[in-house]
Amino acid sequence: MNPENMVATAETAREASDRLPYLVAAYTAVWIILAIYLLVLWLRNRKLRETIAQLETRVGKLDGQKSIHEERFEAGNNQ
Amino acid sequence: MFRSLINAVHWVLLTVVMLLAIYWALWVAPPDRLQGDVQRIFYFHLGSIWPGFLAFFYVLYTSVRYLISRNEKWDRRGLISGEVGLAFSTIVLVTGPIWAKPTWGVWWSWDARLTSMVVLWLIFLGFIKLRDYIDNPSIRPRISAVLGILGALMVPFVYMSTRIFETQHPKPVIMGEEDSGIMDPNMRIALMLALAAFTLLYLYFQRRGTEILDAKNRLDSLKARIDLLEEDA
Repeated sequence: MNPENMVATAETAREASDRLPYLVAAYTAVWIILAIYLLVLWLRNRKLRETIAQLETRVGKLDGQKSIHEERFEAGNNQ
Repeated sequence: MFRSLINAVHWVLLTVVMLLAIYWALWVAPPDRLQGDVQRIFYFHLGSIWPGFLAFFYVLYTSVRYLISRNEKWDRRGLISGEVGLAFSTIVLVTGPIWAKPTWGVWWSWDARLTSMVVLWLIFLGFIKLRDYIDNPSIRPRISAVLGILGALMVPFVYMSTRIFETQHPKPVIMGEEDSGIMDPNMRIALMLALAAFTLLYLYFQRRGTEILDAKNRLDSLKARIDLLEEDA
């Protein structure tokens, strides 16, 4: 191989390895951005579950109040 | 039952295509003759923006549908599509400079393509965030819809900017001139796989995001009804 070509090949190889961190950085950035959006969706979903749990508790309380009213109503009718 | 089957099929397809896209982009496609391996950024850079543009066009559709029907389901669908489009444009705006530095020698150039892309990104950031600052629930989706339409109409300008103006950014590869395309078949396959993977990802985010917002909307109205029942009790 021509010595000039050998120098050029070595330079190209060094340049290529110098540029490799950019490739790694770019692909890492892609996954970080996608992971952030997935996290946003997951947090929204978790908030929904919390809301459902709160509403279930409130409906449970309302059911309890309703049955007390019904018992009183029935007791009133029996008298 | 049918919905969970669709979800499972979508997940499997998305995972397979995404893994193939990564494999093809990083190992199968040959390195670029001039740029070497760093050119592999191109597959996910371009692969993410086309589904991003698709997301913005869906915002155009949902915004028009909202303005015609005033049905808030279109506002919710548009919001999710705008968010996904914004996420995909963020990928483009982050990977672009990382690729530019080793190839152009600079991180950024204020040419027509890069600047118009930033403007598009800002419009959709406004589309998503503006609604947090508008209290009136009937005005909020209307202003968002108008902004969504404006943003989506900017997409063709972003695409055409490298043809209209002299730019540092290369000419379009997709629907570009004959000599601007990529010649190697494995490079083409890598690009197609990346496009397919991000399109499937867009559809996944869109479906999941819409399901969550629809459920939130139903829960909010249920909450309002329970408030009334509690007041009566």
